[in-house]
Amino acid sequence: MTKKCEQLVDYLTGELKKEECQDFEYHLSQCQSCSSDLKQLQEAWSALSFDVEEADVPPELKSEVMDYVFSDKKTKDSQENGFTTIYSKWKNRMKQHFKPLASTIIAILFIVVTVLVYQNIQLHQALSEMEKPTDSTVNVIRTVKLQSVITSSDAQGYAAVVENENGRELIVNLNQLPMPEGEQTYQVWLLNDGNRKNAGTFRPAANGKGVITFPLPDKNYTFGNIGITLEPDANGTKPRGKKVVGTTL
Amino acid sequence: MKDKSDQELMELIVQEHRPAFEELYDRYIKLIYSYALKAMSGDKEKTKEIVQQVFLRIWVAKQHYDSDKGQLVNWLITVTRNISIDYIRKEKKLAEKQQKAILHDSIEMSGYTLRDADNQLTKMEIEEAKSKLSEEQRRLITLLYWGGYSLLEIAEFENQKIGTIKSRLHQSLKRLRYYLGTEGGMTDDKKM
Repeated sequence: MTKKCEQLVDYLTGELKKEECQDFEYHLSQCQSCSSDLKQLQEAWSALSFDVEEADVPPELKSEVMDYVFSDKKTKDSQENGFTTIYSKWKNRMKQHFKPLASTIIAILFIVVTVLVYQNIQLHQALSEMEKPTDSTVNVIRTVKLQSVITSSDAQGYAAVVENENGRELIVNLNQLPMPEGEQTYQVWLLNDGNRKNAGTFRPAANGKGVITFPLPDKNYTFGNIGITLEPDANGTKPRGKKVVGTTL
Repeated sequence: MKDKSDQELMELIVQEHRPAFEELYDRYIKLIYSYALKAMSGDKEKTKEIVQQVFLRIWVAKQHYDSDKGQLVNWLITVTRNISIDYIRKEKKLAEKQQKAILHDSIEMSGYTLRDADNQLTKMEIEEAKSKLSEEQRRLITLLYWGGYSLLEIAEFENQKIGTIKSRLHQSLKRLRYYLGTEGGMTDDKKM
């Protein structure tokens, strides 16, 4: 009598687990006493099934049993193992994990995030289009200080040559200019080897500030000094009035 | 179909041969129905459910029948008992996972080996033999065989050690077999 032998009754009544059952069957093949005992006990055990009153089987039972076994649902349930089953299992599992309210909130959040990302992309594009013109670099080629050449004025300022993608341009910026009278205007002249080039006329604002920009003919155009004269009107092609501002030496 | 042996019927059923399945039904429905009706304490609606489950299992899980292990009739009784007890235990809400596993696996056990179909016993003979058992032996067999209780549960009810219950079952079955007078049962069991 070993410890294994104690499982005989459990084996007989079907209370062993599958693995224990296999182990015990091996034991049976080794243990003479258990296997002969089992034989006897099984005779009695299976005799118990005769302790039954013979009953009349209802005639409609056969069709009910056949319908049950052969209905689509049953045979499918027990045999189908295809994609749809896996999908519906997955769906059920998801349903268990996420309550309807949570799912709705997640869906709404997802939509909101999508809209925001889309708007952000649009905004970014619009912004980068606006930035494009200023994108082009502006280089300052040359700066020149300007100062009054007459004692009656404190005018001063600067001129600069800048280069952008459209070419070169002269900017003249002056402060504390004496206000011109009547038709009088200030006129800018570029001096180059004794030639003068008219670079435009302007009238300063009431506070004495005056700014003028003038596109230079091409990249190779150079000039030496700048002179600004006070002209009787804006129509001159040669300096007629006196020079009031010039390049600082 | 009527002239086919049980073994031939089962082979056809494995090939999903429906007429063979219906012949099997006709042959064994009285036995299975009567057995299930007793297991369900006479409730015809529950008995129908059990019978449906039994035949579904025969159709779906026919590979579990192993003719080397015994006669088909005994396998059918084993299947019916397993399904009935499963049902009873679920009803009692005792269907814990472990027990379910035991029940499903037990179909494969060799509990249907030795019944001899040519020498079928009658209810009278069984009742006669059972009357020779003590009250507690009869109660044990009824609870275990028909009631769906495990040995451990019965030990708890009876406030006994599991070993005591096991040996009581052992004795009860030996005595039962002795009084049933089955072949070879007379000599070595005289002491009981």
